[in-house]
Amino acid sequence: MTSPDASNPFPLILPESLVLGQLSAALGSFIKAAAWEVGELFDAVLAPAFGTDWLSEYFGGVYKPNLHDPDFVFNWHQPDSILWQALPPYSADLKNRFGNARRTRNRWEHEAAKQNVHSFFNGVDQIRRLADPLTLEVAGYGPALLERAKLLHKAGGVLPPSESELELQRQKEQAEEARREAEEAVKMANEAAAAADQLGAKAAEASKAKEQAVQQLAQVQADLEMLERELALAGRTSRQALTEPADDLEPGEPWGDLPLGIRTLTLKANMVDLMDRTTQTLLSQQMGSVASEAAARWLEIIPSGGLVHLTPAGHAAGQVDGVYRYLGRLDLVQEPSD
Amino acid sequence: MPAVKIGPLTLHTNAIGWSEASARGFGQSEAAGTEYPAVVTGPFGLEIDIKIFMSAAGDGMVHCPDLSGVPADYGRLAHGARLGVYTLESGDWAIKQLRLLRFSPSKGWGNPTRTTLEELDQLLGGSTVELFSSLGMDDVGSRTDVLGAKGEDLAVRWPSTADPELPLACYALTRVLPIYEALS
Repeated sequence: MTSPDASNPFPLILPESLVLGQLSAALGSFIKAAAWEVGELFDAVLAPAFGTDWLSEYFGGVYKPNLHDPDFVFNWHQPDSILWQALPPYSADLKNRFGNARRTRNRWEHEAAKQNVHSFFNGVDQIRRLADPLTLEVAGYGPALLERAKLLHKAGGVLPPSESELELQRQKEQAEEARREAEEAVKMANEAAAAADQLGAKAAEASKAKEQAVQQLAQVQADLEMLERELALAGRTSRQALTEPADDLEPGEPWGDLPLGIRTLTLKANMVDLMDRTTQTLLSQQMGSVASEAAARWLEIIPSGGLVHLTPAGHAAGQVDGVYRYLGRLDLVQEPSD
Repeated sequence: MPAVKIGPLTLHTNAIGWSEASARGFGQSEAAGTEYPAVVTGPFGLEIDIKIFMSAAGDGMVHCPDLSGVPADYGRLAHGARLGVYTLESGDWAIKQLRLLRFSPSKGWGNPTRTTLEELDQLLGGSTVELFSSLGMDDVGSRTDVLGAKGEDLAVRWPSTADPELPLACYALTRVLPIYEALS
């Protein structure tokens, strides 16, 4: 992906989930960044040709438009507009692409609540279809947004584990398989030793094989525990790299108007654990003691447990007497401030 | 212990271990003992909290003690339909009557009655013996074969040192799964 001009004030925002606010912010970053760049392009060509006041002179009325305003930039520019001097040769197709970018912008500006994942894909595509022929620096936003949204879609709407977490998870699965094999080897060695005892023959040999199998199992078990620790650490690192408004909250405080995390968990009072409602797995199985320790802390705020919303950074909110309260962060033990 | 697949359901336990508890036994009297919690999950977000409780006297049960941990459709589970677990003279643990809940969705009710391994295999969509064996079972079969007792009911026996998943899985198979299937 081409890096956009450093002066462009709208860096790409990649959605963390498929909730509307995230999609709106993500597509908004593409729309605003593209409008900014086209505005700059207009000025770079038209100011030398028509003077620095060209915008007021040619487009001013009661109000002077803003050079970088998507409302000005994305429009069905007529064939005789001076703006075409800064653009590729006029064509009805390119004019329509400007018009479609305008429609997209209007939809997400004025009818945002009606939008969805489908219109997000369409919207990204419409802006990309304009950014490509203009060879904008920000054209790379399009593929990056589509790739992220597809990833989220596949993962059930929430950001899946990072590559490093996935690699560790794969290693963990292999280690678990090795543990199963080692356990089987111990079982077989035990049976062989028992049979040898009965026959009174080759008992020493069978006993040695059993010892080796037990040692192998211990090694595999140690490897597995190390991988589980690394996996928990990788997950924590990727979550803690994110900053969110909830960073400023303290456990027990009202959650307020902050957006609730899309990942939902059941805080299980009986098991002192957290059940991921999407994947239906216990977090203690994925993350080890981190999850049960978090569950124990959160149960002090919601003793009966229940539904908990988790943000990508690991901040949790749950209802207490009908009010959402901040429970804490999955990976962090927060000391109450004075 | 990793999650245990029981047909479309999954039994989850964690490392919380046995803890002291009390429960109403079969005689409705309060008994002291220890318990181990678990959760059964299934399609469409199904989550059912269950427990195995073993009284200090040696008898126990797998049950759904809390109505709030059971979806409304599965309310039957919070009103009896418990699965008895007994300590044998040998020290092993056993289910002396592994019966299958016959659930009527229209009545929202049903009771456990005698079943067979073939019927359980069909419900499970696989081998019940293999499932139980993987969880530490010593023996499953008729009461006569397993316990030397009278009666045609199925019985299951396993060492008391085994993890708690076997009796919990028996409950998921013979109590939760038939309701799930009936509602499907």
